[in-house]
Amino acid sequence: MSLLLLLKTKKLKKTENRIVHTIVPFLLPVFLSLIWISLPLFNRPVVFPEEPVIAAKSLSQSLLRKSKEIHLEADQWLSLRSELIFLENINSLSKSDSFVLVVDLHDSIVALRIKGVNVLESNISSFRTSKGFTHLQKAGALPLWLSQPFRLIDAHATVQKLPYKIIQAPKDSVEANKLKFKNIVLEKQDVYCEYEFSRHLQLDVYQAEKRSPTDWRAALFRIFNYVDNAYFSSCIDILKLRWPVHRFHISLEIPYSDAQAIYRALPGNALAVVRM
Amino acid sequence: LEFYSDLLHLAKQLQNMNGFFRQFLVFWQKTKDVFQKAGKSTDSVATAWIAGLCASCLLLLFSYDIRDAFLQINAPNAPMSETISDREELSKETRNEKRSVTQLKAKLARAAPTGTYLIINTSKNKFYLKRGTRLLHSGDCSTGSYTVLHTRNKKEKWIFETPRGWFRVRQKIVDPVWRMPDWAFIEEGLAVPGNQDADRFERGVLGDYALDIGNGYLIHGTLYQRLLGLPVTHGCVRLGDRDLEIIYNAMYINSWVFIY
Repeated sequence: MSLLLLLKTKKLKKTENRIVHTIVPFLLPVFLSLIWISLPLFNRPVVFPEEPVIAAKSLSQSLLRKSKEIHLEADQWLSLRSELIFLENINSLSKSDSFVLVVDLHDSIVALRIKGVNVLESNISSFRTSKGFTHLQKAGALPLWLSQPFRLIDAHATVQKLPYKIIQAPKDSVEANKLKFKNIVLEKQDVYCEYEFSRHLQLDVYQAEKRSPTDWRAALFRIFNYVDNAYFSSCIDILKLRWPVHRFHISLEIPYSDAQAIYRALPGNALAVVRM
Repeated sequence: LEFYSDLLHLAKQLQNMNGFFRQFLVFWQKTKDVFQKAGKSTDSVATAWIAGLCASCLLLLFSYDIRDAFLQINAPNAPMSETISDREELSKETRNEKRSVTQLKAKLARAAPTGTYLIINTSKNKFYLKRGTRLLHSGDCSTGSYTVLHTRNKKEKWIFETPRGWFRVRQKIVDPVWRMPDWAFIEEGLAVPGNQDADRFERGVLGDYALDIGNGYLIHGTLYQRLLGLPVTHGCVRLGDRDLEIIYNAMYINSWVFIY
């Protein structure tokens, strides 16, 4: 719009006019693609290993040439290795006094732990990971990326974190009796939560139950979530002179009540451990 | 696909689609007018501009998917490992990993509380009595209502919220007596009596037992049994009579209570 206003107010010469009208419309998408598509790709969540590493794919593929049995054993070894990293993370966090979110995609379980005790365990009914994980896996950086707990940076949801209701003290006992059970409201909102973690991890937790046809907020929330990832977050990063980020998404579906409980229970600086 | 289904879902919610398209056509016409007035431009220049802007918008909108697809296609191959090259070495490593995993699992199991402990879910208003990983008993409870009560002159306020985190049972009380705080009178629209006034002390409203978890918060009984399972309390945890008795007998001083 600002460009339109600029054209409206400034009278350009004929030749300049022609250049502006022919080149700028085509350069604009190119320029934007450079900023919004190329820049975030250079911002890596972890330093990619330069030394030879035992990466999930590379080990299996290199040994596959020798024997199929070795290939199976290599897969078992790699699976054990990732389980060991995962358990080591949980063990180290058990000692600290914190709420920990455990996302185990291997066993399809999401758990909430307080001081090393599993207080909530929920089965994941379905999950989806973004295609970008292939990049981390092939580069051999996935074990390194998962080797430390992720710290929660920001969280949003369709439900309120703390559903406060403000009331004023009644004048007398007659008014108090009228107010007594008026404030009991049962929530029936769809639950869609979005957690932003360190090292470019984004966790989307959705209710497994079908969304209600009348609740438009959930659909709007997901659209906004998508646009935010594609556009707004990069804009903010550029304005703050920070390198824009491409987030690695894990979307999972768990029962409504568990999604709500996890969102409300997780404090601002909670930690998460992920196993893939 | 989810994104499109969401868009479709939202579009269905829009009652006046005709109005929306009409608005778009008006916008299109106005944009063309602006170009024509600004630089003696023709329809084709305006169309080029609009096409450029639309392409930019689409590019921005789908930039996440474009980046994701690019990452998938352009994945670098990690340098091959030469450290494990034969089967014997691999078997040895696998055995070591297995041993470490078993040891860690045992260590984690040992870290869980040995005695009975109580877990309270304030979102569902449910409680779970456990020993180790075994569930002993569960049921409905009532937790904080998240009400913020203001005095009429707005000078004081109270937040009726159950605290989250981990607590220990500090005291086990039989036949607890409730010393009513100021908010209990203000909430009822009554005058606040003196600190040691007899009106402040009420017997029987907290049930037969109570467990003190610190900072004035109790796990106690209730007269309002039909409200169990709803967030209606002033911060304490209310239980049904039978559940309260079971929990009182199973829990000891210093037993853990986890609230989330």
